[in-house]
Amino acid sequence: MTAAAELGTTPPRAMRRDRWWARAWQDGVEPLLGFAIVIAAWQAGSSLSGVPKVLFPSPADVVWALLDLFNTGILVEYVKLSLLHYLTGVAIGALAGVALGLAIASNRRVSDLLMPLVNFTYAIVEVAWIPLLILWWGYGPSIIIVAVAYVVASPLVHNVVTGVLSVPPVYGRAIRSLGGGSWSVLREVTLPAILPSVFNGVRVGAGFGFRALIFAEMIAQQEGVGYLIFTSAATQQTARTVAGMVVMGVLWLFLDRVYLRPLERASVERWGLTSDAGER
Amino acid sequence: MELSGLSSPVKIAVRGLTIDYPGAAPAERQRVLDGVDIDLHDGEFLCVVGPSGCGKSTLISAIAGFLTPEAGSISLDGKRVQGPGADRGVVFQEYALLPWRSVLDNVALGLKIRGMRREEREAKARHFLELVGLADVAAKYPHQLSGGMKQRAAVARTLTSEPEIVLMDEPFAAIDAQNRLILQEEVLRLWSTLGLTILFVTHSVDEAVFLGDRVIVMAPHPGRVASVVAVDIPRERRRWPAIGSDPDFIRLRDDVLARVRAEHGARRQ
Repeated sequence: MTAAAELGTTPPRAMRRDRWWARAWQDGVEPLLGFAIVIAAWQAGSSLSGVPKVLFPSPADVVWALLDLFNTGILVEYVKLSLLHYLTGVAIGALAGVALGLAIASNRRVSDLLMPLVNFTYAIVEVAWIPLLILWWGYGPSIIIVAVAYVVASPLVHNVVTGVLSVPPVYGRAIRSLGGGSWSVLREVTLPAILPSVFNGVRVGAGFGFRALIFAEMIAQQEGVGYLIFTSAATQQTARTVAGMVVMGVLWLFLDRVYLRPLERASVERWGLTSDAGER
Repeated sequence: MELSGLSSPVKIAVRGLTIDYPGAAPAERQRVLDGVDIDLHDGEFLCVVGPSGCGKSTLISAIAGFLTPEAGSISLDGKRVQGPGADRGVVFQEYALLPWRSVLDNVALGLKIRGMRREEREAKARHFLELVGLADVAAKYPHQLSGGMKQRAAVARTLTSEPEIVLMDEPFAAIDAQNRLILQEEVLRLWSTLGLTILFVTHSVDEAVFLGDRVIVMAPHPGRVASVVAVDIPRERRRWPAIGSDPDFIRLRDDVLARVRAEHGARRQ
């Protein structure tokens, strides 16, 4: 028998022969339709209800506010700062979560020592830390970064621990029988095996982290999108507040599309999702 | 008795090997192997059969160094075995190929761990892939292979590291009957062309008699060696399907089968 005959063959994926306009409608128009309906209703509501602009700005007012923010350079600067603080926080949180999770999963004593602490801090939401951090460090970006990192790290620890514990032991045995030590097992087995759980954990954490970013910027920062939302409302620039909310939503869609989804897809699809070790 | 292997020096010496599995409570502690003595000679193909619960897989795990014995010793070339090492290659029933590495990278893994340069280790891995008939799937990932091909790749990975002995733990148990026979012949071919020393655990008596110079029959609860049968069938007669009607093969197989059944417990007919 040839090797090719033994190959598991996959049937070719059925090609969808949609017309270009049908595809354009599906990919381009349908997702935006919901937005269009909401905006139309909003415009109608604000112009028909007679509620003053300060309380209920129209979509047009918000667009003007956005243009104004853009022209003065505030928008670009704030978005840059928010993104920078957010991504730094996510990166630090991801590294800390993975390191802590690996330490807990690798050693029974470390686990007994740290797991109750991790569970305890999991319950203390990031917002609760912010007043204390302001007392210690004053207002500034470090608080924002810490708040985001904290939110990203705490669910990730759990994901990493369960990820490590569900790696079939036979992989580690195989590495050791090929002459590898603990370092080889970590590098060749544990880290790649937990990658999907890490991506999952980072993705979940990144969602919470984004809220943490806006919260923290509202309370502890003099710049950034969260600060914009908060301070504009305080100074009766309601259209700006709503503009800030819109920016927040767009920013998240961008982050999710550009960073998180491709990351997740790349790892999981290539490895065929399943592990090749049977259960024993 | 003229047997290949038996006149050669002892490669692996297992002496009084006793292994317990710890239970949840001290009272649930279970003895899985009790005073096992086995000699594996240089160049020998030694098979181990027995009913489930006889500890045959535990024996492999102990020799591989994954388990610490309660009592007794295992030595390789007179040196006591402590922990796993590249001198004892293992082929697992569940293949244990890393899903995130290509077939080539999997096969070259032992050499990579040893620190060999990429071109060098890949050339060597390709050589062994060719030996097991997988040269054309080097770039594929394990999940794209059939069970038989996965096990070929796993065998190639073990052989690439050139271990002193090869431990095979029911390697073909999950493979369909047709491919099983082919793989058995291929393992015999690799064993004779490369001059391997193999300890092969299986629950199939046919497989054990087809492959082995000797067959060890184990008894369960606790696991121990019940008897040893020498398989004096010349190597050139060991071909499927002809061997199936060979009188010597039938006689030996029935003999081993009777011994395994006796260990199953006389009450179960």
